[in-house]
Amino acid sequence: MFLILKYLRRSVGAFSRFSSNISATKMKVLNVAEKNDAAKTLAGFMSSNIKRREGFSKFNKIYEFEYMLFGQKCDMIMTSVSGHLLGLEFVGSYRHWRSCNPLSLFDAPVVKQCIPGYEDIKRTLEREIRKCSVLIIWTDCDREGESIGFEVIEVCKAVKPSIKIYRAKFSEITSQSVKRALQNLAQPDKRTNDAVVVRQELDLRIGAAFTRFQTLRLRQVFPQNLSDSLVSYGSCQFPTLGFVVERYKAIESFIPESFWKIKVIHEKNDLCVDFSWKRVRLFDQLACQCFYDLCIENPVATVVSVNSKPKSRWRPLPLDTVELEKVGSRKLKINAKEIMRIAEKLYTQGFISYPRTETNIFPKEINLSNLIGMQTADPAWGEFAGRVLQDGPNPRNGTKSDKAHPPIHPIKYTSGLSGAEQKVYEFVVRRFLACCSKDAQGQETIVEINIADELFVANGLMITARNYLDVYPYDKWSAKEIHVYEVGEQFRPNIEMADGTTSPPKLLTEADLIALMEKHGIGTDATHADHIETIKSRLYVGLENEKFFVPGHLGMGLVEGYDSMGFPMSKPNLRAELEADLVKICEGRKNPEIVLKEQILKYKEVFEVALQQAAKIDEALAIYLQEQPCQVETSGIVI
Amino acid sequence: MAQPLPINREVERMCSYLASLSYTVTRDWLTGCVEYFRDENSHYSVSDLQEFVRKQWELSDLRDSSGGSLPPNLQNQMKITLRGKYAVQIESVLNISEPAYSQMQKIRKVDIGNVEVTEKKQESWEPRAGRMLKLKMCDGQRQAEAIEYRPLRMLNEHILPGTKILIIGPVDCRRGVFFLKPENVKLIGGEVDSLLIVNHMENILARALGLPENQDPFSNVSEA
Ligand SMILES: [Mg+2]
Repeated sequence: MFLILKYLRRSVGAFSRFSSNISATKMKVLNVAEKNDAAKTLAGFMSSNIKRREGFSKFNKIYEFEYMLFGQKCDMIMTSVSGHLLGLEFVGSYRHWRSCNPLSLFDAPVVKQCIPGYEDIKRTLEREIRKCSVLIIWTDCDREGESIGFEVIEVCKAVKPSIKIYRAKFSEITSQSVKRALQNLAQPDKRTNDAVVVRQELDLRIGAAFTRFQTLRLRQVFPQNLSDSLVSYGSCQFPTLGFVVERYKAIESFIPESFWKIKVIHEKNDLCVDFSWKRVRLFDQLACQCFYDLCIENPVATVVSVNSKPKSRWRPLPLDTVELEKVGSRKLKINAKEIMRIAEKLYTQGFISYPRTETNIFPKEINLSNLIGMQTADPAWGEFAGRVLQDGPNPRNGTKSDKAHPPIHPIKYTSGLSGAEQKVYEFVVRRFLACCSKDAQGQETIVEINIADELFVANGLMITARNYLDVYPYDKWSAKEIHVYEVGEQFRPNIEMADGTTSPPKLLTEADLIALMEKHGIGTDATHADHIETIKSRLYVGLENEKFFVPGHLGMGLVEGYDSMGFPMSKPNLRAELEADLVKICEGRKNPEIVLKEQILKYKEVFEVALQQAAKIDEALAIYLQEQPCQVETSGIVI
Repeated sequence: MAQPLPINREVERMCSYLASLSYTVTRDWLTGCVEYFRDENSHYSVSDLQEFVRKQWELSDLRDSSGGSLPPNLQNQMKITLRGKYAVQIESVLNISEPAYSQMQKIRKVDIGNVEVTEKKQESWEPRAGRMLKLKMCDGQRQAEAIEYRPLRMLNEHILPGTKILIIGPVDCRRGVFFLKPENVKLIGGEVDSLLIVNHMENILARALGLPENQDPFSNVSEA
């Protein structure tokens, strides 16, 4: 969507180069999408006459059709990968866990190789590219997608170095955007790929060094508890775990305190209005008792002011990924990982736009009326969509743009979904319609009264126009009745002294955890959900009441152990610096090799100290595992 | 140079000087103070001596120096309006409108940013608590408490334990608690050395919460 104009010039150049070079024989073009579903849907938008045949991988079919491209009829071959095709690995001698001191993994040579299980996909690409002269990359238009595209290019170029390469840019799978992508073919973005490659190499080295060290050592130190455990480490995992531990400890160390306050209730015609004390509450019973005496001696309330003013409740912003994950887990009760899986499926099926986006501003070019119009058919929200059309769409806009994808929105109407898919689709639609409609309007009345020179305040709310709330049940805005008061009016309310106790902060929900990851720059909107899943699956954290994150014994012990070394392993700073550097690589403001070197050095230093002070981890864990630590070699590695 | 006054006369003179300031003082303490000054200074002017005893009084613990100024039995009276002037020392201060725990987190620089991120936002109409200091006071003989009934700009949480103030009537006192307005308080100054650490606000909070006390609370404050 965003990229059309930007890439137009380059693609015109590409076009003219082609027409002069290519002979009269029919051009063959290999198209590669990120997943089989996407390949199938994309092909469907390019032709209605598709021949399907098998590739070597039975999950990745080949779709063949004709298409007018570069001013001529081309034979299009569309196939797919299944996410990343190549991965980084240490060279052979460093692969085995006991083959080397983990410290050497910070410098050991690495190779890029086909991810085990995907050899068939690679073979298909190698076979198909031979007959083609052009390769078009159709992977998702985000950081990982760009890098997957480069892996496809690497495989194809190795077979056919002369191949012409193009990148199709799209953020929704519709016939228009497919057409537009083909009219505006661009070049793949090397910088984005550089950033991913740096991240991959760091994750491999840091992850392998710490994971091997922790796992091998702790299995020996705590044979009763951990003899079969994988004690993994990741530079995103640990700060994520750190947030959970930090909150748990904040709750543990919390000290509750008693407070007292004065409650004023005005009951009339069956309606009770609660007035709040301007001093809120006091942490001293005697002082509060004195104020209570003071009020009781002269218990007549005088209305000091009545302010009535319009109040609106803002319609939601356009939907971005983090919001989808947060609201999804809070309101739909679907965890972030699952919600993203569903959203991606809805995207590949062409129901919604690309769900990985940081943008919460609708681009001018987007035809909102069209998109809203499609929804008028729905029995539940169709009528509302019709109203939005009548008034004209007026989206509330945020301030963030990733300059690649629009906010998440529906692109096709469907009533054929069920279960969680239906819930997520419905949410995306309702959010979109809400965002394009109008703020809810109300009238708020604030009344201030004086009793013996102490001030109290109450509010009332009348909702005058629900507007977006009619289509967006995920937001609540309740009316609150209040008596009609006039300045100077006097009445005798009920006056009481009440007490209470302060309560600790709440355990983190998934939405809270995502909010903290976002605040500290841990992971990207595309990976938050995965990191959370990882710490769950390692049993570093568990869920209380299926909702609140609590650290497990292993998680607590690890964080405390590293913390006692004085290292910010469980703090977000180290990883946040890396994420910031990755953005700089994408923007061409930082050299990828320098970033790689600097980061390896930082983590290596931390690792060396961790080796020296490994006993601190044992000490912390011993308490939680209730197991006497066994004495082992300093590094725990028996080579 | 005139002959120095006999010691009795000099103490008399200083006593009425301090009384003119509404500072109460015991004869014994004042005698000791004047004697000490005269031992150190063979020649002095009246204003030198006045300055000295005034400063000494400010730095003294009123338990040693003062016979007391407050009326008896305040605690047992629901409400009384006092019309005199009362010189007292502030033994300790505490803000009673905020939990001791959150005050302590600020002092000990606990980063609560991540807790704030997940807290529910207050509605705009909901009142926010302003500061209310509670003072523990002593006139040398009796204890009393006072609260900041109306904002007292001349005071704050970091005021030194033992600081002297003059409470000026008419002022309401309920159940032994003075309801102070700005016109009821004149800040004099001073401190009491022995109270500085033990009654530092951080240690008052620590005792209220059952947390370890800080033997060097002043270096902590100056960092902030
Ligand atoms: Mg993707």
